[in-house]
Amino acid sequence: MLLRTALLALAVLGSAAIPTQASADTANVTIELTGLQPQGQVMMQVFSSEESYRAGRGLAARRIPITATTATVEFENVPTGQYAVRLFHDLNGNGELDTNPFGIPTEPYAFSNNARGSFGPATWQQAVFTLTAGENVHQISLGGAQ
Amino acid sequence: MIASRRELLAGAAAAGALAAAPAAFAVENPWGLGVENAPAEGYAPAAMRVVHGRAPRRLEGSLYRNGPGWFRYGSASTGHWFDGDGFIQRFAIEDGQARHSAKFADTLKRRIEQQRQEIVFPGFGTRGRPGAPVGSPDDINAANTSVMMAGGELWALWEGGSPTRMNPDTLETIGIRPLREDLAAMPFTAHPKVEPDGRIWNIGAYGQRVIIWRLAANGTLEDAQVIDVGQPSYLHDWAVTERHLIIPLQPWVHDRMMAPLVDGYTWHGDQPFRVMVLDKNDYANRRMYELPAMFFFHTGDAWEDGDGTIRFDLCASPNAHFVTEQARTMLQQDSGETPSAELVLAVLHADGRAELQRSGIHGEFPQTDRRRQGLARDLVVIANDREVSTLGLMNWRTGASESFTFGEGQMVQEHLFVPKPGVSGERNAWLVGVTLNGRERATEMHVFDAARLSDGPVVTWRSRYAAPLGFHGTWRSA
Repeated sequence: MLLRTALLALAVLGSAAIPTQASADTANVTIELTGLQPQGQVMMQVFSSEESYRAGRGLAARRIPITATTATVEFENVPTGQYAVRLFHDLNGNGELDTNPFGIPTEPYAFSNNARGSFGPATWQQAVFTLTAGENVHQISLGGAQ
Repeated sequence: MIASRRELLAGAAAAGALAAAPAAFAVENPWGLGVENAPAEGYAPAAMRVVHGRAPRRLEGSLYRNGPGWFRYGSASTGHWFDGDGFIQRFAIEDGQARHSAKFADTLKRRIEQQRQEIVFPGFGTRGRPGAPVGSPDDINAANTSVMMAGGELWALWEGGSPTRMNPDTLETIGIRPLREDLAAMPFTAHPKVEPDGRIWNIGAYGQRVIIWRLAANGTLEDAQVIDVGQPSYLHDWAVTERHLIIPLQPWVHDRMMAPLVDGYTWHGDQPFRVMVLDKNDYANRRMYELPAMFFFHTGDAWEDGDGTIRFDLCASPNAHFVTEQARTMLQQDSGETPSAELVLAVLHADGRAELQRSGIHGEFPQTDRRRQGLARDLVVIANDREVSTLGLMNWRTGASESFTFGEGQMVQEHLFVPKPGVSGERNAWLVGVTLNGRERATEMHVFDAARLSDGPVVTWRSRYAAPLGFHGTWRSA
């Protein structure tokens, strides 16, 4: 399954950081996660171009331990511009997006803009959002389809 | 002679009614009435009026039925009868009185589409909105095909995803809870087989892979295994004997990934109707039989003789025309009659030969005495809502059939065997089911004595509601 392949790629990534360059043209972004079950970890990947998004080559990745129903993730001094985020909630902490025998994910996953794919991952166009200079907040819910 | 539905439709077409608004269409055509939207809030419990007869003294309980009940937003409709939202009806019989109530299964699909007042999601024969958010089969689960009782809950069943759990007393939706976390969103057909001791068997298909579910009587999962059946046939129903699982593999095959799903199937009339038989205790121990090409939705039930011969009844059609054509067009206009299926008995001999025994009677929704699930029995009841409005009862042992013909404009739906208390004979049962009376614009519930079907119903109640046509039901004794 395309979605599974795309999200599994997250599991093998470490906590690479977005290249920073503090200046008037840089942004800080707080990603607020809601609708979480207080267990396991969230595996998050950040992309800065459609090409890298489609290829699954993230600009940065984070592994976020989850102990409450909400969590925040902060990135500082990143270049302004367009980004997309994808993540899954690794509830059992095995480092993988678990699926049922027919390849359907059985753990929650989400994309920036709360975008939902159609029989696969959300597209770049659905998930892309813009970071402007200064403070940015982006909310992503894992509370199910909206 | 009672006018057939074909004649009624011809009259309606001549009057131009079919080209008019759906409401006018419905007056002339019971099938049109049967695919109108039900009220969004369902039906409040209401007494049904006795039209004929008297309720049997010992008949106490509820008939639950499920079927698609919402098809349209404005001028847009679902692309297929099978894609309407699950509408669960309850016909409760108590102290000789009957009450009718209903609610929609509160699915994600329905919540979003009701909120937006438009068709959003793709389905079996519906394209849906481009880019509709679908991450799992349960996102488009219509919970619209059948119901079963498990662990004190009423499960609304669909064939592509999980059971939707409901409260059998209030018809409130509890929601989807996986049978096991790692098996979330796996298909669970609308035709589980419940053995006399309560154990539940079911399957679910995805391509040529099939999951075999085994549940305890209380609905908890005992086992689930995935097997490869070799071809991605449309798999709506199946059969179980005391010792074997029977998976019919018809030559209507999903060989193209495209939307809507139904368009990805191809009828291969030059290929056989294969039947896979698996040992219940060892799924690797399997045999394959071949019968002539035919299309089917439903089996009755199966049993095996002492010499290993397996028999199961099914309603067979020459091709897939109903599912590919009529079940789509009936939402707009009934643009053509598909002859009803013929009840046949598949006989699988221990030496590998297979043959069909024909009944000569036609219909659908075959039902048998569930006390004899998987065991030898004589009878099967089928409903014919096409050529004639008839309930038919076939006796495979004697080769004789009997029937009761309803009045003009009656759409005959599934009738269930309901055992009479304290007696065990196969005919010691009532046949309980419903019709949609197009002339009266009302749903009716009928109770027959299985020993005297042709005498007609011992009691008929009429609802104040004209409910959409349903598919399948279950009986819950009081």
